[in-house]
Amino acid sequence: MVTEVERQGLSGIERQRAVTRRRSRLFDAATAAWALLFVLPNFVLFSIFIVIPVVAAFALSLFDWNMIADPQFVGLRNYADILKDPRAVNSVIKTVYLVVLGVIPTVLLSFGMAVLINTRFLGYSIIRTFYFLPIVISFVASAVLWRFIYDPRVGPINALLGAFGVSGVNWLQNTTWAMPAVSLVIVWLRLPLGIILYLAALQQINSQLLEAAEIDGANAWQKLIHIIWPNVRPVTFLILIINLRGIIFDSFDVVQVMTGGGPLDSTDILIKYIYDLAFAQLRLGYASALSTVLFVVVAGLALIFTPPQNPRAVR
Amino acid sequence: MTETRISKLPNLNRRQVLAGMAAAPIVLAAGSRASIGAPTGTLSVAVLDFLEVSLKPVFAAYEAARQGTKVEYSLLPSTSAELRQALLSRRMANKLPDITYLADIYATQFAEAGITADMRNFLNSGGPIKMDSFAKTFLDQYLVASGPKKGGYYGLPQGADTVVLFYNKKHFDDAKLPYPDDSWDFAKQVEVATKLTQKNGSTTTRYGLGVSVPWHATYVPGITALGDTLLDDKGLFKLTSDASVKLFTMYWDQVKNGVFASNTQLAQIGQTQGAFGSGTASMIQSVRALVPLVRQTIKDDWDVAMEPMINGSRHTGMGSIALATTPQGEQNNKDLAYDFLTWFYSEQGGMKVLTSTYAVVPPVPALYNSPIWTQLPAPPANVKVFSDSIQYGNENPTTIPADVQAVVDSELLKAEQAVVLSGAAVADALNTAQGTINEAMARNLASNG
Repeated sequence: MVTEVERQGLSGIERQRAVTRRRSRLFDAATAAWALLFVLPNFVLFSIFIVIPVVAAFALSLFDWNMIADPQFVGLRNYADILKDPRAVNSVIKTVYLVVLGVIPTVLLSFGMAVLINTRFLGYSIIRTFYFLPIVISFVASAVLWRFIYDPRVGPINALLGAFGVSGVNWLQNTTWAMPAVSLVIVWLRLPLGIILYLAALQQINSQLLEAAEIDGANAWQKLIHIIWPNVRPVTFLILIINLRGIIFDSFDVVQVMTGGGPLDSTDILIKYIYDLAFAQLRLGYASALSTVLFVVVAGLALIFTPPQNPRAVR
Repeated sequence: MTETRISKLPNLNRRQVLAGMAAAPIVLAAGSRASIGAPTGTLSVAVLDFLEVSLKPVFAAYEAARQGTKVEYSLLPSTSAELRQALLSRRMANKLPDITYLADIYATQFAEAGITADMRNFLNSGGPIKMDSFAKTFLDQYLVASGPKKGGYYGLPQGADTVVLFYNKKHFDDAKLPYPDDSWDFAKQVEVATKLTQKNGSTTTRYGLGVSVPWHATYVPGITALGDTLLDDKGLFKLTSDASVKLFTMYWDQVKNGVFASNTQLAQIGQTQGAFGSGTASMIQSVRALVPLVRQTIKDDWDVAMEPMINGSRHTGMGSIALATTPQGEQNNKDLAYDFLTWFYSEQGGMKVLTSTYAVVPPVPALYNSPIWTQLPAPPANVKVFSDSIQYGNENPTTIPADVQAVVDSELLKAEQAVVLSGAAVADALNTAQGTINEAMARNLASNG
């Protein structure tokens, strides 16, 4: 039997709980409003510059349009044409080749260099500045600089090789060497961001963990595998996806300036081909179809490489 | 006015006096327009970026000549893809200038896109600049040959550019070789270029000739000289014809020998003008428009000569950039736009200012011998070459759509790379290029009817 006093007590607790729930809902609503307020500008800009163009590009991919005559609806014909287009197939292969040559070295070298410069030594800030230098040089300026470095007649690489009696090749006009030569420049340009992100992650590692491991007799390799790597793994995924996207979409400038996609299409990556289709041949529908496919592939890869996150854990 | 000027100039020959007399109506008419009260206001002009330096003084001179007028210019990118993108975007946004610049290969496309207006409106407006004021071969580059705009002229050439031979006199003197002259043929050019070429092992350090082989101004006149045409009766490319294969073989053999520098090599040595300016090429095939750049960069003395003959006949490449009013300009600012064009083509107006930069041969035959450009200090000294070679000019067929020209340029570059870098047979490389180009032609015809 519940007494009157107990009933009153229970109802008081329930009232209190109700008040708490109401306050919590109000707090949640206020938080959501603030969150929305802060997210809104980004959302608006993201929609204008990303979402709407993506949707427009998909819509355009269903038409044949040269910016002059009226667009003609062709359905999915542009997508069907992709598989029949040898240059499109070649440019996909070249893009994959560039990603392999670019992403893996960028991640590994960024990590290695970050570990090396994550120590304080005399003049370490100057050394770090040199490592970060490429990030402040534009892609086009870098490409022009490297075109000179690769020059077979006056470039320093062949001059250096010549000093050892080795005859250098014409790096950018050689179907075998052009892509590795371009990828080296891209890795050089993308290293600083990777180093910065890795450095930030390395500096977050609790030094007591490393000291404890040392006391327990862990060697450098064991510390790297069991302490450092687990702590930098999320950043590695981030660097991987940033570079994957960056190399696929942002390599246009370097390729355009250094090789123009040649020789013999050996550096004709997809983004360069899309540019030629859209702006040299004015085949905007077909170029949009290729762009849409590229977008879907990169979005898929981003999902694959993004580590799963528990929303509750985040909260 | 003209007589006063002539009396002050020494050593004028009969041709120059006659030319001055022929130009007199243009000069007088341009002046009279000003005197009877020319229109005032602001004129907007879209200018190709590399012309900014030479056109700024032209606009300033026009503003000085016409009180109450102002020229506002904007820049257009000069690369093919970006130029079309810029103008098509402006057209869609309804923000075209009153007058725009364009290159010959875009005449039909820009006309159909509604970017340029039919210049017959201006040429038949009763002013001093008429259809026959211009060199016909250059004006005809802007004649639309088919489609809804057929028969219209959608541009007025700014200059009359034909390809001539630039040569470094010091290189010839050092090698004790006589300078090029009108008797030269292709074999002689190869012989001299071979002697001028310098190598370090297998790497060429100085090329005898810099020439862009996959450039219409090289292969169109060459194929013509060998007695054939670039296109067949249906308007499709026939790059595998005997004449075409022979012509490309003649050039690419020398590229393989390291004597000629074509696109593959020129990209690394600063293009033709950069290679000539730095002394990396002893001769180049180029045009008047590049003279200012060459004068800025080269230290040695140099001059120009006629292009060598091929197969016993002389043909040379030609091309031009042009001005055209836009439909908006015609609608909103016609009087001022027409006044500017009239002044621009007058001997003492725009032509005088523009030719003083060395960049232009007047497209007006009446000014071919005018001292405004023939009396400029050397180099080049043999300026007569520029106007004399106009009669040998062969234009790129105007029926080739601009979209297809982009494919032609890229496929012929690949053909060159296949031959020079990978040792492919010329006929095979051209056959591959022809397949892709004609596919683009067919696609373009299907899209545009």
